[in-house]
Amino acid sequence: MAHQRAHGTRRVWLPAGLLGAFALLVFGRLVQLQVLQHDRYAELANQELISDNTIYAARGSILDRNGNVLAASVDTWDVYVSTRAWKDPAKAGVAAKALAKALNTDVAAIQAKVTGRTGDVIITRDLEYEAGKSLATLNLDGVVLMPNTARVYPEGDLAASVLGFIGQDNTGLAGIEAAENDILQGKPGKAVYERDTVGEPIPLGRYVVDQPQAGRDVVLTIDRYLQQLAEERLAQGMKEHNARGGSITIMDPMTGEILASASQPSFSYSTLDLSDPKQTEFFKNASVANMYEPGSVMKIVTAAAAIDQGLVTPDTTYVDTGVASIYGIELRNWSGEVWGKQTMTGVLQHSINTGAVFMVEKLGQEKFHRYLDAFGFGKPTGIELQGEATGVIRTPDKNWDPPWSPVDLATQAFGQSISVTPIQMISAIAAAINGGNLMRPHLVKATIAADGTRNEIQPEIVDRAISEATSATIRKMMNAVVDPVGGYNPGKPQEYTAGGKSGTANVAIPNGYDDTQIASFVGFAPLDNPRILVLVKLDENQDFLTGTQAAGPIFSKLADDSLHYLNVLPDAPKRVSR
Amino acid sequence: MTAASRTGEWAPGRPDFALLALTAVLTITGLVAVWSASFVIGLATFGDANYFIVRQVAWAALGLVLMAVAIRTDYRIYRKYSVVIMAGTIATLAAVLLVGVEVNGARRWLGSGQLTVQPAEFAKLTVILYLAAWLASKENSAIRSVEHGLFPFIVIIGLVGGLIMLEPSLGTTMTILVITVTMFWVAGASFTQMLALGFAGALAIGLLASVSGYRADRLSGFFNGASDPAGGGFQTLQSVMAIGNGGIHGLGLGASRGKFFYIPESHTDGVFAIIGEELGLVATVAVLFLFMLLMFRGFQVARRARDEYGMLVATGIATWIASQALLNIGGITRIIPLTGVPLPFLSFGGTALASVMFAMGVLINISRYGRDRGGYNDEHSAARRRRVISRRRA
Repeated sequence: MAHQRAHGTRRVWLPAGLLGAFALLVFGRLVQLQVLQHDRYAELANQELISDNTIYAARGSILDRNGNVLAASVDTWDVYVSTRAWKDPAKAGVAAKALAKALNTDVAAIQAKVTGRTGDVIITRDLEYEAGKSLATLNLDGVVLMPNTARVYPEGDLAASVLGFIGQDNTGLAGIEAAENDILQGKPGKAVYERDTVGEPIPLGRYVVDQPQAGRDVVLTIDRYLQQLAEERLAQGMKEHNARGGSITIMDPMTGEILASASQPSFSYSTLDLSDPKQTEFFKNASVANMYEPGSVMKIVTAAAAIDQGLVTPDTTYVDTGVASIYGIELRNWSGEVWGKQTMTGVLQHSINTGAVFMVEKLGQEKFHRYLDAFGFGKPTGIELQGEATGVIRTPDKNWDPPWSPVDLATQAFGQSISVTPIQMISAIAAAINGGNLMRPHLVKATIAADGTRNEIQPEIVDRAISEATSATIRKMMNAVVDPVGGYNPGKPQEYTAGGKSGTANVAIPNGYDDTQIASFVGFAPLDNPRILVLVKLDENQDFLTGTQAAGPIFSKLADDSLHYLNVLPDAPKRVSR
Repeated sequence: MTAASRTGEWAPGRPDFALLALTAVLTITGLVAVWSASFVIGLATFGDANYFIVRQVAWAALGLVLMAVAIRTDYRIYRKYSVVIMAGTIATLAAVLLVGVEVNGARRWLGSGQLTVQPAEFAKLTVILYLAAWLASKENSAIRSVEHGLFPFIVIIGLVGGLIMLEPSLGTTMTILVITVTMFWVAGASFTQMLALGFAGALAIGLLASVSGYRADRLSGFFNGASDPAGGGFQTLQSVMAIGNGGIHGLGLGASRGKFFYIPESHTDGVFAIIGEELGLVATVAVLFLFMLLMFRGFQVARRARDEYGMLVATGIATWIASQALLNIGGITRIIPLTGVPLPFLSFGGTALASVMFAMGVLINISRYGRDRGGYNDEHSAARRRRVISRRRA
């Protein structure tokens, strides 16, 4: 009978049919996957495969005017771990142990970062270049090294408030780093490639690279030595006089180049913490961002305007009674002194408020405010730093609270009811002594491309403030302030002829003044061909010293030291006794 | 008509050239697929892009010799030695469990170093040869009985299946179950027996899958894969994605992205996904069609086999290749859970390729004795033809 079964093989059609039916199902599935849903899977595969990496362009360095490096970028590595590659606990364990050893940390810390995460997890940023190279040779499972750069500041905190800093994405966040970011950063490149499961590019895969363009170096007008000097003197002055902040700016009055800019409070690179809200106020440069009432330093501007208009000469006299009465409001002199008959030079020498009122009354509101504008007040100077304040000038054309009154004009003449920034003040004084040109204050002297091409930034005249003759007159009057005949002023440098003016002002708070003082001193040297102009400002000094007493000596020493350094021959005989 | 056909003499006739051609086409396709799918892994693992293809070609050469021998060897010799073959198989499978080489938590290989064999692969053929002999020796009534049919059947299958299951190799066990149950059915088993077997089988698979961790993961990955591309269903979704990405024409031979470690086992169990990605629907449907052609041709050989034994062996071999191909492709395309069986002819794996080629040789040898090949023309077929004619007249 066995044979007969061999012929009854119609039974094979049942399994054949079942398998055939299943094959039809597979066929349908293939059509579904490869035709109907092809686009979707192609997209999915693309998403999984395509990876892109930003290739950071080499960031330009920041140099001082003599080519000393103040900020530079060095190559580093960012260390990532691919969680997919670490799915196998055995492999992950071996790799984590080796990685921990290489990074000088413990396995638990690394595992904690990776556990529960997907994709590539950052383990550490900015690993030193050589350390990264040796880590790469270990060839650890799932450990991926991406090139990065770190910013280093070889001079430490020198000029930190000017230089600023960058964020993790290599973008400048403060100071020159932020203001000149486009120049420094260059153009980042991009690598787009197909990758395998551990993130390695697939050899046959599409690979597109935009090559990065290196950033340019920025050469500052800052002189490293003078900067150091200014910072030391500021710190010393603040300590001596119990000041909470301050600034020292050294400018070339002819060009508007900032040779040194020290300001406090500021931040330190070693303790920089972007997440600390207490630090954020330090990220602004106080010389451009902070406003103050300049006090008597403003009398130079008032005098310059009146002389330029031919309304007074240095020898014009008036009689000081100790009081100037404007619309029934009595404005008094500093410390209530009465000076009697005085010249305009005397007004500056003794810093007589009524004298300034005398001059501004001759000028009138309109002309005085036109001069304030020509001297650059009430508007940003355009210096290459972010967050610059514009200053505030009370004028009749706006609704002020309290409302404008002619008293404001009188007080503005001696530096009250007006807010300026240190950078505005020093620029205005530069115009007053340099022959009459308002120069744009600037910090960038040149840029240098990666191929060495140097692009000089030319000094820029913003406005013509006063005539050359007026300017010469102002220099002489300021010289009379620091070097009065038969008298003594602590702002007088030992070895150089100079000019200067102090300012002492209360700190303006809404509807009044608090009881601390801002002591400032502006001075230049040498007299006939000024090489440096210095503004020293000490905020909230608790000693109640005047600008002359607190800031004058700082200028005096700075002028001597700076001009020595700049190889300027001393032009004033040393006084033997004082 | 040859002399043999006229006389009914037991003599070989013309082989089934279609099966010969199918074997050639599939083997060559397989070598191309293995080359393309394996060079990345070869390079990454052994520093040699040709590591796998060289070995596969060597095994194909051995398979060719085995097939040539099988085509020329009267298949009845296997019936004669079926008990010895089966005993040897069981001994080898037991040896695998005792002294086998363990890879990724599974003990499936014998041997060491460069030369390892996977006994479960040729066990599929030896089980077919033995079971055909056993079934052919039984009367129809015996097969339909519980004590002489179903029970011994379960014992034989359970023994072999159990040994392979212990390696563990769920896919191969399932293939053997499909082959043997089909043979049991073709040999004359009753519907009731089939139902009982089906029920028991489903129960066993469910139990085994639930106790074995990684297999349970694979099964649940099958059901949840889409919701978690990188997680448990990673393996299966990656294959589906690669096939879908291939589209109609594919990315081009050699251009697969999936083989860069996205598709696990891309050169072995996952080779169909690489074919789909590189050569598209054109190739996947062609491969499917080739397997179906092979299956129908194989069943044709079974139907025309000269004796019960040949019929059952042919049935077994056709079922084996077709079901294993569908288990693999179905798993890769996520119609069914991934069980981990190689795609016959196409996956890397020496023992599998040599066994399949040898089996094709046996199948072709059976075809040489088929009724249409000039080796068989006895009275039974004449009587059958007469029956058909008389039915038509009626």
